[in-house]
Amino acid sequence: MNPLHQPARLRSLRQLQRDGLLDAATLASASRRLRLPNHWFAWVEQQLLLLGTALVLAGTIFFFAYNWAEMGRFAKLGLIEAALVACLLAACWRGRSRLTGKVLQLAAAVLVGVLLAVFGQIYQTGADAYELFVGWALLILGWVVAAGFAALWVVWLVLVNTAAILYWQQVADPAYALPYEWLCLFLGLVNLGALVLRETGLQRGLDWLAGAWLRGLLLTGGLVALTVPVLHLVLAEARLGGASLLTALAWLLAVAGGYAWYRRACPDMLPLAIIVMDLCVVLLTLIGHHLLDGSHDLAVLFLLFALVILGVVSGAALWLRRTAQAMAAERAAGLP
Amino acid sequence: MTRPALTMAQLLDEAGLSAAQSTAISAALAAQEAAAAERPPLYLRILTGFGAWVAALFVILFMAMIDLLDTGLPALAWGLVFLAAGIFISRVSRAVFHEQLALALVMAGNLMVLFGGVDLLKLRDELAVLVIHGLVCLIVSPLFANAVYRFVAPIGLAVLATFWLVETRQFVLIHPLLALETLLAGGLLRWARRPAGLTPLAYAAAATLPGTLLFLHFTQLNFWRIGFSEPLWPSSLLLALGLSWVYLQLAGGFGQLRRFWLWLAILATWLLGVFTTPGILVVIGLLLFGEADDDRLLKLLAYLFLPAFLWVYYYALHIDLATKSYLVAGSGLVLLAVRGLVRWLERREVAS
Repeated sequence: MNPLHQPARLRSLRQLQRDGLLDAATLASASRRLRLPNHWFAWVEQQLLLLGTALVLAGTIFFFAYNWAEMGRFAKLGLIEAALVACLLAACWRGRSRLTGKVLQLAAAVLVGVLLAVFGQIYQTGADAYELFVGWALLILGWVVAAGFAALWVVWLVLVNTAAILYWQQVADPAYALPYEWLCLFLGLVNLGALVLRETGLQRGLDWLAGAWLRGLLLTGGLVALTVPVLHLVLAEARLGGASLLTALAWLLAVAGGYAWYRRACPDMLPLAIIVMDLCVVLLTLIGHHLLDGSHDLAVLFLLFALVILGVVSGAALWLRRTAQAMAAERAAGLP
Repeated sequence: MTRPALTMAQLLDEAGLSAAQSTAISAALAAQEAAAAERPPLYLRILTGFGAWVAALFVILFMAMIDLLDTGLPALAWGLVFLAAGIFISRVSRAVFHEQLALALVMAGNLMVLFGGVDLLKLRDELAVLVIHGLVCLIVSPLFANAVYRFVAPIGLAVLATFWLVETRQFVLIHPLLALETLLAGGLLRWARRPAGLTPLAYAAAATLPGTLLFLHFTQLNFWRIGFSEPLWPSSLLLALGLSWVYLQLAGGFGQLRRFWLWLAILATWLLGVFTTPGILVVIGLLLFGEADDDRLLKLLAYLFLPAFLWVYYYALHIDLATKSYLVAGSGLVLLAVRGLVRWLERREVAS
């Protein structure tokens, strides 16, 4: 494709200026054509909305944290509920499709957590902390589904992950001695399951899922959860058991499936790079463990391991570079 | 906030460029694409940089274990050999493994020269490390065309400089350091004809400026054994001045000073400089540069530092939690009110 017929990008224009092919006046004129006249106003409004809302929510949380003893229970609950209802009404008034409406829905979702925390403190139910997060996640699930807001989904996933970790810490491990590998497997399934849903939703036209950051975040979260027990398995072979093997299998499936999907079905270099980096970490841990875990000449082994690191990382970099070139060639040829 | 996609051809047609200019631009765009395909993306540079760094540490461990680094002279000599070898390999081969090897050799050489130089000169203080590393950076960076080294080495220099100033309690010299970082970051990021070789330095400056400020704040909160006890208002002044200049640049020059919203933006910046931490001004600057050039890396840097500076600012206030909660929530409401003002200004601007 003729480069001049490709969509114009600001970065390309700046590079042309650096190369001396565009003067400052032409660049400024082209930049103004590329962006709407009110671009900077809209951008400043967006930043102020996000930061302002975050500060108001943080201040609210601090307020209830401090004014504990001095406020009556009905005042506490009433204030939070009033704020929650106000956020929801304002979201409906502004419109759920607008950023303001979405941010208000997010604020309402956060206030649900504050309400549950305050309720638990007032009535001293003796519930474990994980129950707060489970309840919070369940109560806001409907809003999360209806909102069509990626950030709210991330908040919900954080709640689910936190609930799982706290459940393992407070119940599963002390009461049932559940190996931590089961927790990692659960976290991996949740985050990678969310990734699968995200990809499915995007393919069906849900554009609000389009941010590349979301794909990277979910993949990283899922892979990290599965990689930790794999590294432990590599380093401590004696701990071989059902949970660790199952987690290792899940990790292998995630890596293989992820690579196949993002190489063929939905070509994207960022997730491929994340997967390859994860593989490098596991491979180097495996090699390092066997190389350095002996009574041989450690100095020479250190040098050898340095060369192994360079070899593995270079191999990964070369693979990724060639994959990127192949994908670019396939795109140019109009192949899927 | 962007129009429906325009092509380069459409944009440049409107600019009234000649056929020869269009041809040159077409060739430059094709070259940009080819260079982008060849240039390793950021995640690849992070991967190779991290790999080279770890490999360098194992090489140094090897050298130490066979007693080649016992004293300053052999360490310095081997360090120079490694630096030379790394530079030589980088110039004769562009193969991925050789690039990685060269980077590991240069990093290991840099560290060994530091150790050897300090030991040999019997100057066991932070200034010696700073000066030696500065010399190494100055000599090696032009010869070793590796983006990772050109990014990491200046950051190391800034860290050593800050460490020296804090440890020796020469707090007043922090302001020239911050001024230098500000001028480097602002100047390099906005330099229209910036050479490609200086791009890593630009991003290093963009990272060290907020990093230095954050470290100083942490020392003030007693998270370090020495507390920085110099007021930061001179740096706030410089940053507010710099941001005002950036607003003028982005608005289109001094001719735009008749715009009411520009005066408001400058006034708000000076008020932030007076009442908050200079780190907030740095974050605003990074966000503006990032948005102006559609640079996601600068915006990511800003978003990473913003919560840190907000936390530091509110944490350091010597007020009780109740008042703090009012202040935090009140700040949020003020920002939301300012948002309303911005919307009014936008309507006024569009109407005019």
